[in-house]
Amino acid sequence: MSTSEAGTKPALISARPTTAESKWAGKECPHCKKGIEAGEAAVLCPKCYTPHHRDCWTSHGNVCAVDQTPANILERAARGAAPPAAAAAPEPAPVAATSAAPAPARAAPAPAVKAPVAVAAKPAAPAAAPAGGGASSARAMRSAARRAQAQLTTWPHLLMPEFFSAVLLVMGLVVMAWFVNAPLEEVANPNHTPNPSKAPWYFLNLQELLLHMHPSLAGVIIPTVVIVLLMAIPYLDIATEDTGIWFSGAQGKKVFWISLVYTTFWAITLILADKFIGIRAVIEDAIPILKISWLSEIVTQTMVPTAIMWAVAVGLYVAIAHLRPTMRDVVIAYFTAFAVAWILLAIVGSAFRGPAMELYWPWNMPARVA
Amino acid sequence: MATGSLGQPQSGGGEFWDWVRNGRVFKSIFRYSYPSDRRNRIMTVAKNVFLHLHPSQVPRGGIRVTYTWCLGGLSFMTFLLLTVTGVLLMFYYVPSVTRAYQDIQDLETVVTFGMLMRNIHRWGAHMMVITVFLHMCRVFYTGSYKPPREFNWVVGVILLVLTLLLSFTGYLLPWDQLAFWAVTVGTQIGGAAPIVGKQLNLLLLGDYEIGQNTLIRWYTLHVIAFPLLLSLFLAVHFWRVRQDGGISQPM
Repeated sequence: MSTSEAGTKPALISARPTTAESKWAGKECPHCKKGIEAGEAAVLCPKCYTPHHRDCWTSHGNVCAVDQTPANILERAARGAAPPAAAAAPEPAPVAATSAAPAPARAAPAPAVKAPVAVAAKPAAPAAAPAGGGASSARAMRSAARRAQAQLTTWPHLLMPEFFSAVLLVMGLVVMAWFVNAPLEEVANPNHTPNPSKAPWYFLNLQELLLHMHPSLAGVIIPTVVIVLLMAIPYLDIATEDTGIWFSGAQGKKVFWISLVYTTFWAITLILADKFIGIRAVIEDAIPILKISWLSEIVTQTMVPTAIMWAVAVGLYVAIAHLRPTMRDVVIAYFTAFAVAWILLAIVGSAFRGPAMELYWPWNMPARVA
Repeated sequence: MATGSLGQPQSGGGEFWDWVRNGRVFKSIFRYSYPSDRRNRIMTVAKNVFLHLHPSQVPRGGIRVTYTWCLGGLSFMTFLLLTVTGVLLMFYYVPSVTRAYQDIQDLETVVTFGMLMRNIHRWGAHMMVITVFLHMCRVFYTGSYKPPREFNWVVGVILLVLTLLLSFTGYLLPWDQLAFWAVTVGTQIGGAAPIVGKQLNLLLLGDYEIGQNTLIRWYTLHVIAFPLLLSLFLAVHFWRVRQDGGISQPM
């Protein structure tokens, strides 16, 4: 690949460990006139393919002893040190070269795209040229990207971790199943309602919402909207520069933490406010006509909670606005709000709700009347 | 090309294993020699019906444990475990309001390893809800839903919903107070749907209250309909991972 631009710049070649099966094993290095033995790092001249010791190549000015072709050795972090047995066959040329090439070009509209370039360039340290600027740093970036995308064979590099994680999972579940029994209460009795009656823990977040608003809103409309919004995420956030980077970099991480603290604060505040202030009751007391059943359902049970949730959602955007958020940041903020609320409300419903779904500290929880 | 390494004798691990690995039976089953070099490793994965879900090579960065946390694989593994233990439980369980509870008690006290199977199934069901949710979080926070993987994210959301439905339909089957009233609460939530709520509830319960009709409906959904649907979407999910460019990577 790089040899195509060899007219002025020296080519890039890679050093490889020699094994007993290597084609060049035992051949004579034209610099030091000694044989290249298994375990020694070797390079091949990009033009005549004559094998040299890696160290002889660098100590003789990075040129071939036969036809004086210049070529620089591509530094591969830790790769060359891999035990020869693991790399019995030489690495095929990375396929990634072409897809990695446009990386510098993409870096141009810099301010919008934050982290990805910095992350990609991280492992490039030694090769990055001091003065050359454009061409050599582009090359450094390309080799860094190539290293990051190096292909490993699925067996054993993926299958072994998969196998061991599966074994750990089965062992963990069997151990838990051995010591902790699944619950089984009295036989079902439609005439006797336990207090409290709770849904499974993963629906307790919905049951928690049910305490604060109209059942249609809590049990049907909100879950439907959440599922539709979840599915819409990839059609809203379509920029692909930051694929594969945790939180898309430092700013995304900041947005995550802001959203986590914000959502936790408001979820707990609103639950407590509904218990100790009772916003809906306050409104109905102030405007008695709202106590009429159907008006109450529409206004205090549906419109008021909806307005509060909208206000909290808009507030989340305001809380991150000073960061000049990208679409990805906005999506991170709202997904985090969903995930945190989902988990938090399930915890409140499981551990803090007792008889009549009243709030209790877990250590003061009255026994369930089954 | 495809038959290249069939004839090469393999060695290592003692005479007996040499004899096994170079014998006609072994090679009729596995086709390729023990995968100790790159070519055989690639062919072994590409030519095996179970392993070919994977690409034969994977990008180094994409399989770091701290990148995937194995969560997708763990979810799938849990599903397999639930299928196996679920089939064993089906041998003993009859979905009848007069027998179901007694069958569960028999599983716990009379059937050899019955308690263990029921426990693994119960805790595995909780585990799957957790791992699927965490898998979604991992995929989200690494931006792995972005084009060209949009549709596979949608399939993933469907799989999350199906996981919740599978777990919830199974919740009723022991027919104890916990099951009965959890499902009562759960279906009241669904019954609150505007306009279609009453019809939806009738569809879910097969009656105006939870009874035999409900139990047989939920049992059928739990052991046939939802597992089949989930398998279908899983197949699409795995296929699309490959089709949409493999595991996500920084560009």
